[in-house]
Amino acid sequence: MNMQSPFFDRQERIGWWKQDSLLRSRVLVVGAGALGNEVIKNLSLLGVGNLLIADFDTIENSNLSRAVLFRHKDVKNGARKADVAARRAKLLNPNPKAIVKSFHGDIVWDMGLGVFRYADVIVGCLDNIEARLAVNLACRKLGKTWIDGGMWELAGSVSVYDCKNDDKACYECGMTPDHYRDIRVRYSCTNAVVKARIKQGYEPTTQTTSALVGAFQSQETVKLLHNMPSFSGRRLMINGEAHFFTGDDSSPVYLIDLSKNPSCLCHQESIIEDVFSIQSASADTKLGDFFDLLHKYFDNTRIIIELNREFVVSAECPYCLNSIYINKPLHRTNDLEVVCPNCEVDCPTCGTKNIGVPDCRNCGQEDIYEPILHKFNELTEDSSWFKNNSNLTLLDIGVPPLQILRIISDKGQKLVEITGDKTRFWK
Amino acid sequence: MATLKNLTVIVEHTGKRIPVNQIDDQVTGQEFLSALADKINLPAGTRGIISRKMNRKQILAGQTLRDAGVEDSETLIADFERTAG
Repeated sequence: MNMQSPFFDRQERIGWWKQDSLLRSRVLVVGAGALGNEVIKNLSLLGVGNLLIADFDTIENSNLSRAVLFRHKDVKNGARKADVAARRAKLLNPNPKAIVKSFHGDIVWDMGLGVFRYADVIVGCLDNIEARLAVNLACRKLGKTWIDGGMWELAGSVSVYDCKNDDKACYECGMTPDHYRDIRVRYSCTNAVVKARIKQGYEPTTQTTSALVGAFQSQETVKLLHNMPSFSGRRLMINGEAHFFTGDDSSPVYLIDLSKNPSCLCHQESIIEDVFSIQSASADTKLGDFFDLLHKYFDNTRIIIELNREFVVSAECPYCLNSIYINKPLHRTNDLEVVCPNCEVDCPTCGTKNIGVPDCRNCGQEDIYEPILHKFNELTEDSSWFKNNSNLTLLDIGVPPLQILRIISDKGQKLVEITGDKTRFWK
Repeated sequence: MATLKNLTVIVEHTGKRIPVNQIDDQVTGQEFLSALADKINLPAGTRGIISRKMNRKQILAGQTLRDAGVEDSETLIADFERTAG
């Protein structure tokens, strides 16, 4: 006689619990650092059947003290956080039908909007404003709910954003000019190419804080997956160090009712209703072939593909007028690549003469050299650039896998998903 | 435009209570936090959040105290954003 109780026995004793629903559910975890590790571990042990883990980083020694899924050997191997977290998480859920997938890349630029479309809940375990803003916008466009976690020393916070609900605050509602300034630090002020040398800031946290915050995020995820009310539009503040000041009940936690900002840019985005899927198109599809596919659905009208991002063809020196051939997306172009190697530029701050650098070598004044970028953000077949580059793939021009693109033709516009990438992310 | 009187700010992470005898009700959440920055003393590298204790409603950075509904003798809570992941 088998005396062992089923793996999920204890939680299935909860009256409203639906283990089958969890098995069928799809959760996207963005960020596989300290918080991500906790959330991924929790959701796997809870039996979530489809987990997608996204992160662009590799594992470092300092991650190990706060990351239950990582090991010393992962540091030596320079392993990717998302891949390792997915592999170890798979071991935690014994259900053979459970799937854990990983995506190694920058979620701001490298992951298509369609990835969010198939998720039931998105859990943000991020450490920067730009990524949070990107997740928030994606969730708004698709009417999804996401759960943002953050921590600092022994303090934590968990916010639930129901981006479908116009009356609820979203992440961007709480943003200030300082937040936007922080995002711009990563990019050149003058032409938005990526700054090649940005120091990454590290913030003080502990494993216990990530365990606390990750637990709240996981529990809210489970509630949402059971269609139970969550604290949408509010932020749970956890004060782990001095926890008795604001609450009359000496509570270590309290909720803030987040205010909707009437001029929030994200709220001005309308929620996507209809998406047209093209199964045979992926980010690896060549541009010429993609236009051919589009003509099947849009007839032989003139088609414009809106890229929703910019592609740099060349950088022209404003002094000698020589051009540097770039031919790549703006977000993959850094400020060192677009500097003329021959022309001397005087720093407006200290007067030092500089050659071949975007920032002053002497005083650090940024963006002393301003090239003229020749770029586009929409593509047509009749452009001269296309005629010479039709063999490039969608990915080459910055269209990420499972992206949703706006296609404009004489017959109107459609939002088209390159669905051929779906299996990279979801079952 | 009016003046708000006898506000108290509780700094969540230290428990410190800061009396604000009077302040213009057109001051925004951001300006309010900036004006009290030395006293609130947020952890280095963090940004402040301010909310009303009575309803736990956040006061937005660009929102005036008046628009947020703050009244005389209220208690406000100052806390900070947690951004690490």
